[in-house]
Amino acid sequence: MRDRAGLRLRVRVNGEEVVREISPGRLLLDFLRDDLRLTAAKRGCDVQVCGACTVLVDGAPVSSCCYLAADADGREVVTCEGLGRPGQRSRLQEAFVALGAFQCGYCTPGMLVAATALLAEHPHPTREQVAEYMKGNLCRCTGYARIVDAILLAAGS
Amino acid sequence: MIDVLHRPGSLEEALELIGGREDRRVYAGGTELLLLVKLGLAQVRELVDLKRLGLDGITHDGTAVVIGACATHAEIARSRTVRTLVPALAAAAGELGNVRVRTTGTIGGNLCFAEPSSDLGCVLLLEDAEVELRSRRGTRRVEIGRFFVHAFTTVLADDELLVTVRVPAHPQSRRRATRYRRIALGERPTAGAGVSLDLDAGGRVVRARVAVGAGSARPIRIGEAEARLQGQDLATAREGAEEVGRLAAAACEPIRDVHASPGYKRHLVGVMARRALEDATAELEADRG
Repeated sequence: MRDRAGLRLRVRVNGEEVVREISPGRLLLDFLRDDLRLTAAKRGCDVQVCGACTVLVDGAPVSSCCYLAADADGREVVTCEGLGRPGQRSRLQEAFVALGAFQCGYCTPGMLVAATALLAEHPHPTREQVAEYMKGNLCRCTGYARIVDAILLAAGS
Repeated sequence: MIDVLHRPGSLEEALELIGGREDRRVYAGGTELLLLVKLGLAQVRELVDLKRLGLDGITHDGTAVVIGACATHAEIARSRTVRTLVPALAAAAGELGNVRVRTTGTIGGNLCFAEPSSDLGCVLLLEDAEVELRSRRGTRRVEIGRFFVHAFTTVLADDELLVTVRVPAHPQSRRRATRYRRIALGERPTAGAGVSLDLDAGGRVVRARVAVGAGSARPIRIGEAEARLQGQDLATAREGAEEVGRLAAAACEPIRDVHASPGYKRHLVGVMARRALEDATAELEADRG
């Protein structure tokens, strides 16, 4: 099979089926932000170091800035928008708000998505497990302490 | 930029597509390749996606753990087979990069990219691993120590694919401890060193490996240090820790990076080789109870 421009992508995004024509080199981040107008995932470092663009593909965290949208074909993508809704925040989102675990907010959607994956894998993590798992998500404002606190609060640890 | 994505459904089909074209590259996790494309360091028009070839399995064939080239670092870190039979590899895969890199990055991609700042090659060298390379011309197995030529350079021909990594599984009659230590400032390790020891029933070292990884241009074994350990009992092996560290520091070929000068890396390698030996002997002591 050979896919030139006009590759047909069928993907579930935040629970909704999406079918779009995309170019083969389209990055998942651009697909989400520009095609679907889901702008929670952010372009930060653009080289898979900072984590601001983190989304889940079939439950696993990926850097959407370095992931071809074509590779999400037939899969389930969850962005920060899919974690909760206004008035129905997820436990992690509630905990981030309760503890003020952000300042400028640029890293926050990636943090929430990564932390969601962490809690799916380790429902009751230790502080060390949180720090280890989250060390690929960078925050330039908070100094991390409240982010870790919020994740532990959400986990009830 | 990328305007064609080939998605072969079989190894034969993939092998037909590769070779002879600079702007057509094989692709699995994309953790290195997509960066190069985005940074303008590689001119790539066509990708050949290897993820539909069934190359992601992890099995044990009786003599070796056989890891498909497209197995991800997360899959290797989680694999019960790898954790049981090659725990040092599971540990290294579980620490590689960050959680997102581990989701998508593959062992085959890591080895073929031959980034000097990587741990897997060194751990596989400690474990006497081989890689199986396939092309339309045939199949060959290459010891991992001969696979890497230099930084970012391997013996892989442009019509060849790395299809599996074979790690000999421990013979039941022997005890093995493989310990690897590394220093990473940020995500890419800047220096690493490891030791692997097999004990026979009488408690003597029948196989010793000392290797230096991340931070040198390619992973290398330190033959003099291995000779110092070969045939020794555990206590004598452990007494050699300082000397093994010195030999590793002297023989390694550190490269300069943003984190450390070659001289300082040499120092780090000496310390880590010594500690890796102490870790390995302590593990074997504990096993003997």
